[in-house]
Amino acid sequence: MFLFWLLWITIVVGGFYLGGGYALSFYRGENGAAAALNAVVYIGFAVYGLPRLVRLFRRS
Amino acid sequence: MEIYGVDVLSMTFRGVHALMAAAWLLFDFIVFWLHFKIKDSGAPLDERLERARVMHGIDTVVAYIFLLMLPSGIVLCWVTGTPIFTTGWLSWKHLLYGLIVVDALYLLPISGTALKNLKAMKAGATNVEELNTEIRAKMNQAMPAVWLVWALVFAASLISVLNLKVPKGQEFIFRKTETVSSTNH
Repeated sequence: MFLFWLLWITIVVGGFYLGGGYALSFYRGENGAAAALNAVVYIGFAVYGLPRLVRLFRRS
Repeated sequence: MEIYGVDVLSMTFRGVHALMAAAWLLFDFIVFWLHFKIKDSGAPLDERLERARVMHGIDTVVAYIFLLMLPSGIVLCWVTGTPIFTTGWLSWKHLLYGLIVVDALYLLPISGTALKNLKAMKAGATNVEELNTEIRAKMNQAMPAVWLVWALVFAASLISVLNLKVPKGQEFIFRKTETVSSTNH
């Protein structure tokens, strides 16, 4: 069970952190295509994982 | 903190991060090797069950490595002064990690099927043929994904190795030049 917590926390927190950071970096023009792709991928993970993490919180 | 010209904090994080990648590559290979006997319905049940237990244990360790790789990498960036969002090669490495996350989410429901089915057989389940078919199908479904993870981890490691730099003012990779010179005289 601990592994599930770690999985969804990493995906959601890491997703928002990296996705947000890369989105900002792309917006500022500091990084190119890789930043844009990372922003989409990691924010996607965070959005995908958020309801699962919330469900884990509710169950506990 | 510096001992004998070695920046201990930086070296520890670099070492742990590199060892995690090396362990990941090795464990993925062991999982691949173990799966042949596990899906072989002609092999003795006890042997298959033992291998499935070992595989499940290794899978758990790999899952921890996979999940701790991201925070350990972020800490490593902080320790070594590498900008996370503006370093080109790191962006591509993060993209590869993103693909590994997709792969892991694909493998998540498959993981543990063999062990569960083999335990059921040991307990005397009557639908042995059906359980064996499921094990074989799930294993065959998982292995290309396991190899994809292996290739992605290898590519990410290669990107890191090709972008390794000797720290500023150092002639030696691990130790400061002044310390090496003073101990040689």
